Amino acid sequence: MNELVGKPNFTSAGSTYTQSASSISFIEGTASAHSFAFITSAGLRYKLTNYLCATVAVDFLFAKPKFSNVTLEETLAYGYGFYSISQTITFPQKIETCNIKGGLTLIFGAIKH
Amino acid sequence: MTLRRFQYILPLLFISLLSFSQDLIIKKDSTRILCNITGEDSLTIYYSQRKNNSLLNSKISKELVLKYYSSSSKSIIKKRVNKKDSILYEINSRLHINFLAGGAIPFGIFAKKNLSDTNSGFANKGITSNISATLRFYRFFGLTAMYMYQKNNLDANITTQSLQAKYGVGFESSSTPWLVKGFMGGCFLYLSR
Repeated sequence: MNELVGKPNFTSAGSTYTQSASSISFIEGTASAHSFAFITSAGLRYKLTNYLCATVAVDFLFAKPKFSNVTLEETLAYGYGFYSISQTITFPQKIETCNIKGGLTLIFGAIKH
Repeated sequence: MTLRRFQYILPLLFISLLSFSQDLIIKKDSTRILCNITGEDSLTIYYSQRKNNSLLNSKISKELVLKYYSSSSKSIIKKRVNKKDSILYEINSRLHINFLAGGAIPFGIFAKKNLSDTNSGFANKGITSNISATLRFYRFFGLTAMYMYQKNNLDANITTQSLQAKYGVGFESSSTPWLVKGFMGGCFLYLSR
């Protein structure tokens, strides 16, 4: 059982949608934020040798970073008309994931059996 | 008649077993010896074990013993060694380095894909990996430091479909993923050895 806390770096997802025929585009930029995150996990180890274990773990990540200065751009061009607007927003995003992992564990200083 | 006899014999068997194998010696290599401790001095523990209906008397050097339990004292007797040596032994034998990788499955509002809900994260299943070090201070407790990296792609299809419904077909989309990377720290609880 692992209970972890930290302040990792979160980067928000960005996206661009364009329709080249009519020159319509929507852009959502990315932003970074440091926020407290919590991980609670449980795992199992299977001893392969005295110094190596196979490990599987399930953990849950919880965080709510607040992203600032995220750019939203909207461009519409049709005929002789042209419309463009750009704004920046701030939004919090609740991040919750269940992570299923596997790997290896090295054990240092193990006692020889 | 036989059953009634068995009712008397069974408790006697249990009593004899419990009265004999009631002490425990735990060696440094985690081996456990269920026995009857018959005596001890500053360097050695003397004990007896019943094997194949015969009583075997043995002894073990205290250098090899982590701790032992004696029913005569009704309490846990820790090996009488330098406390600093004991702690160093635990630390030296329990440094774990983990390399783990796998899938990151979003749930809740982060996985929600609803355009009318501004809190929706539109996150797809992603990947996660971490490297961590755990230092075990006591038998059931340790401290962990971890560096993690996680990536969840954005699901742009729903937004694309919505734009196509409004402005007509021909939209192309590209996106960058949600990323989480950084250091975490905390405690580690062992539920077994």
